[in-house]
Amino acid sequence: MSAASPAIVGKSSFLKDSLLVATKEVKEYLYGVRGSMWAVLSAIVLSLMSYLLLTDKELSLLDQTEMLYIVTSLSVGLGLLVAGILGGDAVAGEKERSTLESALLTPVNRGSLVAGKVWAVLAAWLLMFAISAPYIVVVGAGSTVSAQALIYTFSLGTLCVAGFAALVVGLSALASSGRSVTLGSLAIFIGMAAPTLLGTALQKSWFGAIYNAVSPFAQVRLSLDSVIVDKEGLLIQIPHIGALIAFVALAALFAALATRCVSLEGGE
Amino acid sequence: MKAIETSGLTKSYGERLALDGLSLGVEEGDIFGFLGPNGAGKTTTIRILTGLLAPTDGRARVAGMDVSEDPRAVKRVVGALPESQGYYEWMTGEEYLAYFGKLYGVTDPRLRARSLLDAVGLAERGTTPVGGYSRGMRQRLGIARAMVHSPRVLFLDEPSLGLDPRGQREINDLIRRLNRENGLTVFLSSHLLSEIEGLCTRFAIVREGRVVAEGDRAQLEGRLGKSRRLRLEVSDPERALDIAGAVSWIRDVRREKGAIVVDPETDDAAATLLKVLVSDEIEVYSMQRLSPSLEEIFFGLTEQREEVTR
Repeated sequence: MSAASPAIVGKSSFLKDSLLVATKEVKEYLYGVRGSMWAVLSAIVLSLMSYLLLTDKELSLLDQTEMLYIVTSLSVGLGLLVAGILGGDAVAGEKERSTLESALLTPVNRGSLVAGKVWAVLAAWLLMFAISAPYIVVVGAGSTVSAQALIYTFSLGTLCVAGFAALVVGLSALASSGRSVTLGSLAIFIGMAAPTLLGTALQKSWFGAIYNAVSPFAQVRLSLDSVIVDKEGLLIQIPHIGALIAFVALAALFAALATRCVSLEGGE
Repeated sequence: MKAIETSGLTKSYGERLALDGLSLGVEEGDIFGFLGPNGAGKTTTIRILTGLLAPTDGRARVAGMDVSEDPRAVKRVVGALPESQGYYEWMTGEEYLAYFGKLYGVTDPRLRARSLLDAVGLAERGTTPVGGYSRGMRQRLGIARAMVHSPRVLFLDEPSLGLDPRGQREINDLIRRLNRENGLTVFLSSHLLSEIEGLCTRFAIVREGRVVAEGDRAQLEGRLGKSRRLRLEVSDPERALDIAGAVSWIRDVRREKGAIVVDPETDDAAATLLKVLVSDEIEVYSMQRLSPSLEEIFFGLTEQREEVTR
């Protein structure tokens, strides 16, 4: 009976514990339908969009940089969508499946658990970017901004998805239903993406200006537009990057506060 | 040193009082039965003692540590199997235990996982996804998970719930073995009294967030008072059953193998009943006063408490 031989227990750390949780989450995405299905769907959406841009009679009249801007924006948009779906289920889903209590029984602090979930969503974004990269390369082939498109999509997308993941995982920590958080995060995503649906006149009005200023996704799009279409340099992007960093900081603060509220439903 | 000690433990969820000054003590190496009806506060007590919940008031010490002052330190020395335990269905049993081993900082978690799987009788299923495990196998895996860091105190919340008799027996045997071979203190919450009766050395009966009785079996019997139930071996059990059934001061009478068991209303019933049977020409071979079952003690004590409350 080897249970009689005691285990040797070492020390834990925030980073080590959160990476352990993140590794488990990523494996769960890969083994489960959730993660792999979204990767396949994203590839299909990107394929369709690229095909239309290159073959459709009207869309193919667009300038190559315009096409590149559309594909890069779409790539970040899909990353946000997947982050919302995976992050919404991260903590609340564990409550629903009664797996959270076992994790909370370990000496790992709640911050590490929540941070691990955020790292995992970021890892899913890296996969999404890896899927998008060939489309960006193909659509931007021959263009002078192809490399910038890749670099800016990666860096701006990572900032935007990191903030959104922290926000959604924080909401998930507060909620008891994964489905309601997922729906809520989709509503936030639609809210962030809404400026793209505004007409040119409305986009240029005070309303559009405010909307663009508060929407992290709008900041990504404006920056990508500036880099890819207008071929502007890094200095011009600083306000957009600053806004995204502020978004990440605020979302991380919210997630840290929400971590304190990770609790189980009342017992008997 | 006591393994568990609580004093005036109180927990309220808003207006609702789940624990109302609960005080108890568990000696090291005991298998302690924590009994109570649904809603009595059993799960809340376990969640406080395992550092998951903070009490509203009162003190609780586990393995000498205050659960309010250092819940993380408490988590290092306790293991727990919650009542509704979910599993990562896609993981194999070995991966599941190794994952928790890593979270506890166990060195060589894979080796530890394999040794625990062997200990709970799941060695051959260690490489199978947990999704394919039966309820009994999942409970054993849950106990192995609770043991992954070699805790000093093991909390089990309704471990046999939903198991068939064979599964219940397997879990009970496992608990006995862990207690015997590891010197582990086991705090077992259940409302399956028959299950706990043969397993636990000491008990506490809890109702509405308070301990109404605590002690070993004899002490609980003492709290209830002397049992009045009698078991009689007689020459004609059928006729004896009819005669006893017609007596007004006998509350209940039933056949038990070759004997009858009667539950009279008064303490001096034995002599009177003997006279009645003998006068009807029934020979009485033996008469024995029965000890109350744990179920009778439980209902007796919780009903007493209800009467006091009224």
